[in-house]
Amino acid sequence: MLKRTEESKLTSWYFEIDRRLLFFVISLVFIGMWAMVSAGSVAAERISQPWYFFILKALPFYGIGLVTLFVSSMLDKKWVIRISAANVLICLLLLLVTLVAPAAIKGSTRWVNLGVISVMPADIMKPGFIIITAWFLSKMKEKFGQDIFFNKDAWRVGLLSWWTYLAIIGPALLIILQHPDLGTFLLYFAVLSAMLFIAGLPIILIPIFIGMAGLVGVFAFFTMPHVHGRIMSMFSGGSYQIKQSIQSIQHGGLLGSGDDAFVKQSLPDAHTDFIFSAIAEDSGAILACALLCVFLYVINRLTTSAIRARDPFVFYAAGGAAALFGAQVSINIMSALHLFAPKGMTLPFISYGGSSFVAFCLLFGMILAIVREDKWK
Amino acid sequence: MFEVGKDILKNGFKSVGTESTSRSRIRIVYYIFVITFAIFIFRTLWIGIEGTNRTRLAGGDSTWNISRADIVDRNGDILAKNVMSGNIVLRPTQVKDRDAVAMLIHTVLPSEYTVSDALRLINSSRSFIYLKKLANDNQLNQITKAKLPGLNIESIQNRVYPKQRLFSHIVGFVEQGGNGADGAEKFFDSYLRENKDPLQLSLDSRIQSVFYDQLSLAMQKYQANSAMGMLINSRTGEIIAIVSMPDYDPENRNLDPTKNRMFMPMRGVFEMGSIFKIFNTAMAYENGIDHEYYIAKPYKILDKFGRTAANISDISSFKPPRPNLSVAEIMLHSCNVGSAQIALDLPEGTQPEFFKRIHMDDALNLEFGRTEKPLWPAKWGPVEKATVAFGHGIAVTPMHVLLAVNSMINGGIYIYPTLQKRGIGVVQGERVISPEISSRLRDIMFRISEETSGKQAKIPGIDIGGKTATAEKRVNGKIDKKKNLTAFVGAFPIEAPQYTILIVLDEPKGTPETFGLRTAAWNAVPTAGKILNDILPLLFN
Repeated sequence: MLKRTEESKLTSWYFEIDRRLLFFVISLVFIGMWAMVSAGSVAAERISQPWYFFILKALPFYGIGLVTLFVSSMLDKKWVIRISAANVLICLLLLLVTLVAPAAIKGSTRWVNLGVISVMPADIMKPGFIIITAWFLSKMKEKFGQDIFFNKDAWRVGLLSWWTYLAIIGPALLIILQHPDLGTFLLYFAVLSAMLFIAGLPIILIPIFIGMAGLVGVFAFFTMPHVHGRIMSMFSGGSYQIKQSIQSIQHGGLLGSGDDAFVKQSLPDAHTDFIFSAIAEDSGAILACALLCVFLYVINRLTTSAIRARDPFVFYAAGGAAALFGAQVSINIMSALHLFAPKGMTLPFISYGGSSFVAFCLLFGMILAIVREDKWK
Repeated sequence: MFEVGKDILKNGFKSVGTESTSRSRIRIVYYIFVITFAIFIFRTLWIGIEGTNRTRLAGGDSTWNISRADIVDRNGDILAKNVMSGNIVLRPTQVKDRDAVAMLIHTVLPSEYTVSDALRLINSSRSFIYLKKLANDNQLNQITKAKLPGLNIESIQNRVYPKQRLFSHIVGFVEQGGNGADGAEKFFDSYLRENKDPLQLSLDSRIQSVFYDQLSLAMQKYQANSAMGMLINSRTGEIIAIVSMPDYDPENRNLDPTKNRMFMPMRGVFEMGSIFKIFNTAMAYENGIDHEYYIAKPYKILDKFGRTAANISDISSFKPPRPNLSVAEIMLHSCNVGSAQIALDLPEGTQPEFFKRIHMDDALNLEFGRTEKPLWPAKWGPVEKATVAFGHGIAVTPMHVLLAVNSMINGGIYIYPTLQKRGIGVVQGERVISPEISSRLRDIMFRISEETSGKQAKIPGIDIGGKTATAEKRVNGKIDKKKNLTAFVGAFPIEAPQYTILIVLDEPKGTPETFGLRTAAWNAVPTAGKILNDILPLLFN
C-alpha cells in the first residue's frame, strides 16, 4: 500500500515519522485496552456497576485519543506552538474556574465540570506546558545567547523575558499547589527543573532547586494532614491499598495467575493508580517487567530524538516529554511497589482516565510531528 | 580541594550552554531513569519470586498455625470457630518409594487419581504439586499415618463464621496471617491468641437476627442508603445486638464492596435531629426553665445589626394543639420553634458544658473500638445554640447518641458499653443528671409513644418510651429537604428501663404505603415496632 516511490502526504508521513516510537506508543494503548478489560471489570464490580462500565466509558476516549495522536503528528511546528499556546491558556482559565466553582470528585477540588465530562485542568495542561516551555527556552537562547539565567537583559521586563514566562506558569503552579495537589505540583516542578537543567542551568542553582522541592515537601508534611498520614504509613508497612497491591503482585508470581487472579478484586483503584499491580497479577512479574522495558524504551526514543535534533526547540521539547513521561510512570510504579509514599497518579496510556489519556496522545503526536519536521525539512 | 570549590564559585554562575554539555546533560536525565527503572524491575521480580513460595500464601506461615479461641454469644452459640483442614502436597523430588506413594495416592483419592496418573505426577519434573486442596479428615489421617517421604500435608486453619453476615462488623474477621482485622476479632485479638476457652460476648444471636431481618427489610422497603440498629442493656451497658448495613460476608469478603466494611454506628457521623430535644429538655429542667413559649409563628433570630440571622421554623406537618406550649409539650410534639427559644433562654455556656458531660465532645474510646470524632459548631452563637437544640449543626455517631440517651433515661448514670457478658455493677458509671430529671424525661418519652410520633412502636403488654428524629441532611453545605436521616430511640419498660434501643435509617425514600412521606414516624418507628414485637418474648421470658 505504502511505497517509497509514491508521492503523497500519507507516504511521506509514513516514511519520515519515528515509526518505532509510534509503534510502541500504540502498543501501550493496546496494553491499556487489555488492562481495561481485566482490571476495569473488577474495579467496576467493586462500585457495583456492570463489568463493562469503565470499558464503555473509556471507548470514546480511545477513539478521540488515537485520532488526536495521528492528526497532531501531521502538524507543522507553527501549528504545534499555536495549539500548545491555546492549551495552556484554556487550562489556565479552567484552573481559575477551579478556585471559584470546583466540581467535587472524591472530595478534591481539582476538577472542572464541562457539562459532558469532568476534566482536571492540571492534567490536560501537560502537553502545552512542555511545548511552550521548550519554545520559550529556545527563543530565549536565540535572543540572549547561551547564558539566559544570569543575564541582566533576560530579567528585564519585556515581551520575551523570564517575567512573561513566570506570569503564565507561576499562577498555574500556585493554583495546583493550593488545591492541594502536591503530587502534580512536584511533577510539574521536577519536569520544569529537568528542562532548565538540560537548557544549561548553572551548577550552583541545582542544589537550590532540589532544596526548594524539599522545602515544599517538608512544609506539606507538617501542614497537610493527608500528606503526613501517607508518609507515615510508608514507614508503618503501608496502607490497605499498598498491602493489597503487593499481595496482587505476589499472587501473580513470576508467570501470572491468569483466571485465578482474585486479589485485584479487593484492590482499590485497580483501573487507575494500581493498574500495574493488576497487570502483574494477571500476567506475572516477568511480563510486568517487559511492560516496564517498553516504558523505558519510549523514554530512550524520546531522548535519542532530542540528542539528534538540530533545532534547540525540538531538543527541549523531546527532552521535556521524556522527563514528564518518565517521572509520571516512576511516581505511579513507586506507589504500586511500595517504594515511596502512595500518590495517586495515572500510568500514561494504560490507566483509565479519559482526558489525561487524550492529553498524552496530543503530547506524543506533537513530539512526533516536530521531530519529523526537524529531521526532514 | 579548595581548587574545586574555587572552580565552582568561578564557573558555577555560568550557564552551561554549549551543544555538547546540553547533550550530555540529557544523557544524565536518561541514566537517572535507567537506574530508577532497573530498581523497579528488580523489585517487581523480587515480589514475584516471593509470591511463588506457595507455602507462605497457602497459610504455611507459622503464626497462622497458632490456634485461636472460638467466639460465642451470651447463650453459648458459636459466632466464630477455627476449623482444621489441610492440603495434600506431593514433592516428587523427595519421593523414595515411588510405587508405595502412587498406591497411597490412589487409595486416598480414588476418584481423582488412578495409579498410573499418580506415577506420571511422581515422575514429572515439577517440584511441588497440590494433589488435593482442603482435604477431609479421613484423607488427611491416612496420609499422616503412612508417613511416606514426598507426600506431605500443608495444614490450614480456617476461621469459619457460622452466622455469616449476621455479625459481620461486630465480630469481624481474621486476615491472612492470623491477625484479627475488625470487630471483636481485632479488639480481643490477644485474648483469642492466648486462650483456649471461648470468648463469650454480650451479644444475643436470636435478637441480633431479628434486628438483621427487620433492618434489611426496611432497607429494601424504603430504599435507604444504610440502616443501623442497636440494643443495649440500660443498667450493665452490655451490647445485646448491633447491626450495621450494608454489611459483608466475613468468609468471602471480596464479594462485597470495601465501603460495606464501614461500621456505621461508630464510624458514621450524622446530625441526629430531634433526639437532641431530650438533651435540650434536660438542660431546661436543670436550669429551672418550665414556662410556656409562643410557638405558632416561625422564630426569628436577629444578629447585632438587627437583621434576621436565621429563621427557625417547623416542618410543614407540625400541627400545634395550642399556640403556647410548655417545655414538656415542646418535646412531646417535637417543636423546633419552642426548642430554639428554650436554648436561647439557657445561661451562657450551658450547652457545651452539658454535651461535654455526656461525652459528645470527643471520640469515645470503647472496649470494642474508637468512634469517629463528633463535629462541633465552630462557635456557640445564638444561631448555633438554637439549631443544636433540635439536633442540627452538631454531628455525632449513633453510638454517642445511644449512650447519651441511655444515661438520660436510666436514672442519670452514663455507662460505658461492653461487649462481654457481665452482671450488674461490674461496669462503672458516672452520674450526669439527677434521677428526678431522668424520671420527668421518661414521662415525656412515654407520652410520645402513647400519643404522638412514636405511636407505631407501641407494643401491648409493655410500656415503651421513645423519641423520633427526622434530620435534613446537608449536601455540599446546603440543606437538602429530600435527603433525611430518620431515627427512633426507645427504652422499655419505661417506668424502670432495662433496655435502650436505637434505630437509624439513612436517606429513606417515601413509598406509596407511607404516602410518600419520609419522616421517622413512617419508617424508623414502624421498623422499631416490629423489632420490639419480636424481641420482647426473648428478653422477658
